[in-house]
Amino acid sequence: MAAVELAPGANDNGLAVMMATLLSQNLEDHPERGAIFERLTGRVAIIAEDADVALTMRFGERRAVVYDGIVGIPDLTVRGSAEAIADLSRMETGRFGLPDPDGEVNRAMARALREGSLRVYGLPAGLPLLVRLGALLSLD
Amino acid sequence: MGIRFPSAEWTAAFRDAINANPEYAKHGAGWTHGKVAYVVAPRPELGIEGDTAMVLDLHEGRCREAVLTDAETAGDSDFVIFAEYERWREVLSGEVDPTKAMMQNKLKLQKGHLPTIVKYVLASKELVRSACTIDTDYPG
Repeated sequence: MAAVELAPGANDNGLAVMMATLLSQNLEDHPERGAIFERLTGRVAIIAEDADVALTMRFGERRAVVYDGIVGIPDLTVRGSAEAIADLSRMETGRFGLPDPDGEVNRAMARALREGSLRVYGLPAGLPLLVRLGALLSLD
Repeated sequence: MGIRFPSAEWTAAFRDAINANPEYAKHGAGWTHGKVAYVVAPRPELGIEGDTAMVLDLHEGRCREAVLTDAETAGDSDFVIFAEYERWREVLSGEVDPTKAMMQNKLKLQKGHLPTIVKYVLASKELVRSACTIDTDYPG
């Protein structure tokens, strides 16, 4: 059973609650993703700029802890609008579990990246973390 | 003079506005996941006595029925979203995006499968756009 928990004080952070709930419900709905989850290590920070809210997800030892705000030094940081952040979980998955370049949401995200309304820091080193996190959050 | 929110009259107008919105019909076409309740916290000084809820029977891009009820009855719905009166006013008047409001913990999903709500985020936005078309009298 995958363990996703909210750190003390994160209950009032709606983005943290959303991400923790999405992760745990997705793992319940897709038990095959448990293998990805159990191998995931690192810290991911997500900042929804227009909502003025941020979180940190720490993965390791077969569990995830979601914190309010930025905690520690993230391996990967995703900054963008609330809409772009929500789209992270709506990305369409294509072959080999990679993002489908023809997907409507994926194209919108690519555009957001080009225009700077969505920014990812920590690449290319954090690319495997980003792809695995995308697979865990995917609603496909 | 607009229609007072929340009220049975406003709830009926909301149903009609949803059914008149072609974008909701498009983005909500796949919705077969049951009833959605919007619960408003009490504000006796504004005439909102006790928890008040609007239950929307949404199905395949249409609202089959919308009723004003209490929170206890609304608890039987498949999805229950709770917020203070002021937060609903901000969201249903289009002042605050519903996704952003959830990230800020202004709207709280008390019951229901979050991945389904996120998957239908565009339909949720169209529900709000439908509400914005109603000539509403927000007390306070």
